[in-house]
Amino acid sequence: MQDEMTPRQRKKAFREGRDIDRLPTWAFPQDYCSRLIGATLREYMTDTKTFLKGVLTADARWDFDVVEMMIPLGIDLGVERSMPEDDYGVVTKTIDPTEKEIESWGVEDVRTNPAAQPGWERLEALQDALAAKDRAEISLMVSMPFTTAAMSLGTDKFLKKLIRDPDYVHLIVGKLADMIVQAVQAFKGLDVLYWCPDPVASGSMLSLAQYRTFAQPYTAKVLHALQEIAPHPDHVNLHMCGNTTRLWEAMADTGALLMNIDETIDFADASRRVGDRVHLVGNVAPMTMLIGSEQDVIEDVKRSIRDAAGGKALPIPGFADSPPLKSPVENHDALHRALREYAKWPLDEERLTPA
Amino acid sequence: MSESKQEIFKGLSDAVFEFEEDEAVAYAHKAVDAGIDATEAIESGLADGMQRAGVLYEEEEYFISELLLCADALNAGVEVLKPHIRTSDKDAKTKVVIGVIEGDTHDIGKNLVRILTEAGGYEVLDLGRDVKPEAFVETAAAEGADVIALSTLMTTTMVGMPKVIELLKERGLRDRVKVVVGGGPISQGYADRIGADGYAPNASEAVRLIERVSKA
Repeated sequence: MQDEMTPRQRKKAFREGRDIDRLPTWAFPQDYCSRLIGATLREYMTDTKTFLKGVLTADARWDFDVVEMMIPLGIDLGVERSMPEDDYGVVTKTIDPTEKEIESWGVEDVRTNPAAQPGWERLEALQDALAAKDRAEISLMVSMPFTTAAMSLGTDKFLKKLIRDPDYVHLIVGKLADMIVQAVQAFKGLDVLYWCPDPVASGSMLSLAQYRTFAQPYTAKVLHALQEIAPHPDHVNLHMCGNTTRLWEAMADTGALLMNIDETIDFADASRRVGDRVHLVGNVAPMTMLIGSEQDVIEDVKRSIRDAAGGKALPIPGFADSPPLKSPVENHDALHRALREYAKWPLDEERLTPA
Repeated sequence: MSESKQEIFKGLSDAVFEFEEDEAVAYAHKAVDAGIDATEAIESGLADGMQRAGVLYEEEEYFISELLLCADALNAGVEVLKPHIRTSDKDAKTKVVIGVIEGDTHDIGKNLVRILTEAGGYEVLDLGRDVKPEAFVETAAAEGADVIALSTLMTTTMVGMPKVIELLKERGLRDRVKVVVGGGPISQGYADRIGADGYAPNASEAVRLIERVSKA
């Protein structure tokens, strides 16, 4: 099924409440692109040519509205990760900084930092291949400060500090927020979106009070900075994992206009509670992509659109979280067919009912 | 005047419940000095505190931070009592091998299951995180374990779970060793699909699940 509008035309009309051909989608499969070109994960992540080949091959097949990439922010705290050939790396060394050390942390200029250069090359290539041709928009990943702190210290150690040493937590998360805000100024003027994962600041980990105290103010600070440098505030998408049910209002209070939440929650309930304030992004289940049939994937697309369509802010269907590397390519084909068919505007309630 | 056995149990329980590590150690020493059976001190004292914490966790009054601190207090007390556990007690328990599947280092959920399972009276062999499927099976075989509990938070690594079940079948151990699964992206549907014996959505339910499957 061919689209009648380009991603940017659709987004603009969507924002202005004008007619659209279909809902915008956010269904970039991230590292799964490597599967289409027979590359290992390490090759895809580290080699710019391989990365670009994977993204463009996937885009040629599925014609995304958004593709995602990252430019390292130059926040090197000394955390070390492994990098297996064809699997996800793990943190192999965490840090235990003193308050004085935290206060001394600085940020390298992302424009000149050597570690960021492959990211800039990728961005330029994707802009030439996609954005300049009015195809997919490009989204940069910017991790949120609470999660960055937790991953750097070790999540369990960090979570204990919420009770044992709250001042330390405020110091490190606040410092990281300031560093991220400073770093992302390098992106000012870019016509890009931002995907902002904060997986540790999840309702599966935190109480509402903990989220509002230790995560939300700093997340809000970074999101606000991104919204200021982005072409429009709705270019910033806050992603949180796990069961976020108790946090939705607090998440919306960050000022995020897009919220990408896991499928482990009731999307219809989320729509009732915050669907007038934010566009809900998602939330096709990674599990469905992995073990479901093509029909299961289609039904999950219908469910996600149906459940989230009740709010004033229309939904942006797509993935709840990264699809597994071993998910069948046929399920991805089914997902993109279904997104085009069932997100067609105006929504057809009858067609969206379960089969 | 020395404290009674019940007072020591209460001191151990409260120390865990209120995450007071020093208190847990102090009461554990009191239990040893009073000649109280170490296993009883763990089960009626430390584990009782962890179970009380587990109740508040289910009621959403305690969260992960509190449970982790309770666990620190519990572990501190256990360290004092462990050398005094009678060998016969060590052999009597149902053994559970637990770990986070290869490629994933998110182990908070696994740690909570381990803690609550230990508090429930099981012997838990914790293989840690980023564990190869072969290691689960080899440990279960070598230790004569009854249950393997697999955890992962990541959609990208959950595909390692069926490998454990395949390896158990290859080794002829599948009938003897139950397999339970859990973690963020896991569902009952996935457990059924890969042929696991059960799925638990949270740590408290995991303990009940392990109890059910180990008696089946």
